[in-house]
Amino acid sequence: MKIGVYVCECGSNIASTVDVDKIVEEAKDLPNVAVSRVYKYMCSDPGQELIKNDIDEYDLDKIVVAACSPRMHEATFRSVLEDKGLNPYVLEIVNIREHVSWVNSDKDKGTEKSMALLTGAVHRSALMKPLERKKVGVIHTALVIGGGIAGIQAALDIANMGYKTTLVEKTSSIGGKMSQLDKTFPTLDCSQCILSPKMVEVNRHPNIKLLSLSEVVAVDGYVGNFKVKIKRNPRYVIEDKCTLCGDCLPVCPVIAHDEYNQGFSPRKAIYISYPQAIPASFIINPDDCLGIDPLICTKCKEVCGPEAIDFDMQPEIIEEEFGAIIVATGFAPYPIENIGEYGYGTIHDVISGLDYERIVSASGPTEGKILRPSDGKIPETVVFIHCAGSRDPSKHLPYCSKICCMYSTKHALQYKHIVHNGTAINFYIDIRTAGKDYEEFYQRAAEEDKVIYIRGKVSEVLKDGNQILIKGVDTLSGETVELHADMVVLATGITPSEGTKEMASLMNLAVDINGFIREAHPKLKPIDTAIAGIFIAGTATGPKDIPDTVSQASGAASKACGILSQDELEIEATVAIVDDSLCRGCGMCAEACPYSAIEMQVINQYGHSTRIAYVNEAMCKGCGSCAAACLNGAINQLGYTDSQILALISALGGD
Amino acid sequence: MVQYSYFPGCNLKTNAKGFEKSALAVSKQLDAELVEMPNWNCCGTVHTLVSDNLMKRIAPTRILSRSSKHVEMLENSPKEVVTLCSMCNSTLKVVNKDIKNDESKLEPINFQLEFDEEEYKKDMEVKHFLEILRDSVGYEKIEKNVKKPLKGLKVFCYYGCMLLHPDEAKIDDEEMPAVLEDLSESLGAEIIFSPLFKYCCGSYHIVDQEDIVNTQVQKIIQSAKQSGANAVVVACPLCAYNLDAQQKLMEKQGQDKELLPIFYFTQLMAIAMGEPININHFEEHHINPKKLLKKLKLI
Amino acid sequence: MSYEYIKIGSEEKAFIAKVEEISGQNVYSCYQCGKCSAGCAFSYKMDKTVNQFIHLIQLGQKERTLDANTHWICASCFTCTVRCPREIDVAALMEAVREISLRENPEKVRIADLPKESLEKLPNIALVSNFRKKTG
Repeated sequence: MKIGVYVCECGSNIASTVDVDKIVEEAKDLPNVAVSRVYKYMCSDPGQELIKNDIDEYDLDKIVVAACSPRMHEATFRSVLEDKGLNPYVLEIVNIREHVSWVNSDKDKGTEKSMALLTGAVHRSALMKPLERKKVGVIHTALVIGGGIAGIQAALDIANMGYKTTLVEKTSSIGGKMSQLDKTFPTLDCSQCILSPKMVEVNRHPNIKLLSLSEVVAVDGYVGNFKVKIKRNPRYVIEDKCTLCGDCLPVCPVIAHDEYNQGFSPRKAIYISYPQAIPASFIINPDDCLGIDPLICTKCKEVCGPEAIDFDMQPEIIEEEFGAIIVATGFAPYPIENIGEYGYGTIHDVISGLDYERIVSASGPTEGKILRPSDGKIPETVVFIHCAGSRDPSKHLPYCSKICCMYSTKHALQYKHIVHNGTAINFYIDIRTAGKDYEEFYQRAAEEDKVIYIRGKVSEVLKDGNQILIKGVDTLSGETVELHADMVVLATGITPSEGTKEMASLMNLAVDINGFIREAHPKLKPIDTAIAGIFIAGTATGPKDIPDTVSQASGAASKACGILSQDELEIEATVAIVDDSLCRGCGMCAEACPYSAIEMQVINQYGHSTRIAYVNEAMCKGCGSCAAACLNGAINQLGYTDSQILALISALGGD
Repeated sequence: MVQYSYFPGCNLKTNAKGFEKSALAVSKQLDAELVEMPNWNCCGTVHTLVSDNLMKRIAPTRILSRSSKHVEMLENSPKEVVTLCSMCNSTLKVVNKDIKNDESKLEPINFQLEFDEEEYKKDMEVKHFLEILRDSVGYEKIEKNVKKPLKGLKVFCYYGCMLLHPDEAKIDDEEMPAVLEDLSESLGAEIIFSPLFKYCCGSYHIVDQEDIVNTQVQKIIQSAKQSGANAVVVACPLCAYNLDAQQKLMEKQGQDKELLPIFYFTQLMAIAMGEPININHFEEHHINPKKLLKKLKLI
Repeated sequence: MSYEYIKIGSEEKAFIAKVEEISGQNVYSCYQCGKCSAGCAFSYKMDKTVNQFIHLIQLGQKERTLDANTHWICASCFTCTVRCPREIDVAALMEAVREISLRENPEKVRIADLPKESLEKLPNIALVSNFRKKTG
């Protein structure tokens, strides 16, 4: 056996705290080492050539590279081996940059540690064996979960690239939160006007199957081959038959709060949430309706010409297979009633940002007139309190919700456009306008529309007669201030939606401390999750504005198509492997596996039915948790077998 | 030879006679003669920042109109009115731009000027003499005319506010000006940089809030001394007065013994270019500059 | 510390409009970065810094604006004006407040009270500019 050792200086990154010449010299004396060299940038083309020449010249069969983290250049050096006809898995990388030079300033100690790590690696390298990557087939269909703007965009992009897509939406219509917004910053485009064409496109796209009132209830399988169960809840109105004639509305005796209008207007038990809703069909809310179990009233059914009403509809479970999944389950507004001092829920005229969107909307309960909820009067002074919940780690949300500065500015500006003589005051901590044309929008609100900004947080909001007394501070003048307002709008923060939390838990997706789905890498893999084939888009990963959401959705779509376009996928060879003869079927490995890659199977062995662990190689990420958990030593991880690791450890220990 | 229509302003006839006389003398030497315009009036010293009052714009406009007529009588004269005082310069420049850009202001002003048989035709540019020296005469020509280089003079060039502010009036980059330095250098003086070169001297507060001016001057002079200056060169009679008189006051109060004499830039030119010393009217100064000049053997 | 009561009604708006009319500036252009205060050679003398002063105008606080000494300490040196990132002529705002004050109360400086000796020794430009800024 001939091992080649290559030590990288990484400019001065490594060389300044590790005596590279010394370890190169000492490495020559290690067992099986045929050649040992140092180079300034081993990852560069000349560096790679150096290794390739040596493989020919010395007839090397194992390579050890001491350089940066394998996360950076493992793939680079593996391809060097492959180029020369060696198996890529007989490469060992010793991380002497992140693990040594960057965390250490003492050159003697750095050199000593590097040498120890290198020695261990050479011993392990001797035991490394060639491994083969396996291949799996791919189902060429995508699943998009969540029908907000992120899901809509992702589904359309995938469908337009020619792949079948199923879009699952929990509520009766796609459109999400964006459908409730009046205008969008900074262009003041009408939200519904830019959204509804996309919704219509979803509806008629031949590659998109839209499942409304549906929830994903189970996800199994792995990249290219997900098996998904979807529960479809009854609409009690047959979508294809409903003509939206509205004959059912006057006869329905039930009055309920209209969720689309944030409860500011009534609706019937049979309704359509808004005129542009897709699917374009009425729905009966079973909690409100008197016709569904027990059957008390059938008035709508009696008048329905097209006979679209079916009180007997039942939930159904749909099972389908998908090659890739996009999670676009969105956000929920922070429950601002938690902020007792701001009086939401106790003071009628203290409303949320989303409430305000409905009030200011021409299609809303006041038809676009700004009227306060308590007495329907036009408020003369409106106070907008920023960071309602956000940036408050002690009691509420630790993070910045990102969109509130802009939407509060938009709200104030809209108010001034409608109530010219009114006074709009924003209390803010910082104004954050990091988006294209956002700063200009904010300056325009101040300059042209005379929106007033006071830097400082409001401490409390009190009812005072039919007005609201604000106790705040002006930190720029250093004065505490009091003022009366007729209406207060709280710039409600963003939290992960219930759907986001459910899907994360259902699919074992990692979440951050706030419950948002965690990206595989916050900078370089912002669309991937830790599970291959599952991607994320929109506010499910954290607060985002519409442009960012749409971009991310398109990114996720293109990532998904990267999978759907393959006939086969290669899977990583360093997976766990079970020795059937040693497995006792205890199942601890399956519990330890964070990727649900192990299931217990009953097989016939030596004439007995025995329970043993089965590793789904496509799902295994090679983390090694199972191998560590197995009490019997029945599971090994290829590329990191016990014997290899023990050789490394004993070399580190010097024995 | 080029002749310029020259607007003196009040101070050049009273407290700053040396400024004017030295300027007139060197302007002749440099073939860029300043010829006093006839029948001039006070410019108002500060341009008004009030948009709804045209009264305060009439006096400067009348000056522009009369200077325009004066130019016609001069030899090779461009349509420019030249000032020495930086307050006059700023006032005239700002008003000139203001009314040139806004017909609704010029029209009623011209209506008023009819009583004086004047009409401003928006045909004038306002120039500070420093601009003429830099852009029309050139430092090369000045250097050629230097007979006695100002060796040993370590000058701190103090711009004050009005040479550089506001944008409409500035004669150089408002944060990094060079005109006074370049000119002084061409006269053979050593340039001393001090960061407070445009730090306001307190200006007209001298009338009723002398303490403000006193504090400002202390800071400016202290900084100049720390940088190693032995003289200050200025272009504004009010800066000159404040820096000069307040230093003298501090000396009287026993706060400071080492005083920096204040020169107008034209006085330095006159000395370097060999004009008679008496035209500088150094007797008007509170701190007598002759002491330093003698020490450096420049007179 | 007691609370300052803020009300932005018609009187306040009239004051803001007057300042804007006289100065030709939009007071709401100011986003309170404070560069004017930071660069003002006279900040140490002011009871309200320049940006605080502008903020008072933004809130229409006429009485408190006129009560401040800021506009009387300002020497119209224009450092604030040339450095303002929002292109506000801050010196013009100062002048507008001086003007509003002088239109009600024309003698900030009473010429009759000045010592004769001062009037004689001071340069004319000092006197003229002072009276232009401080008398109505």
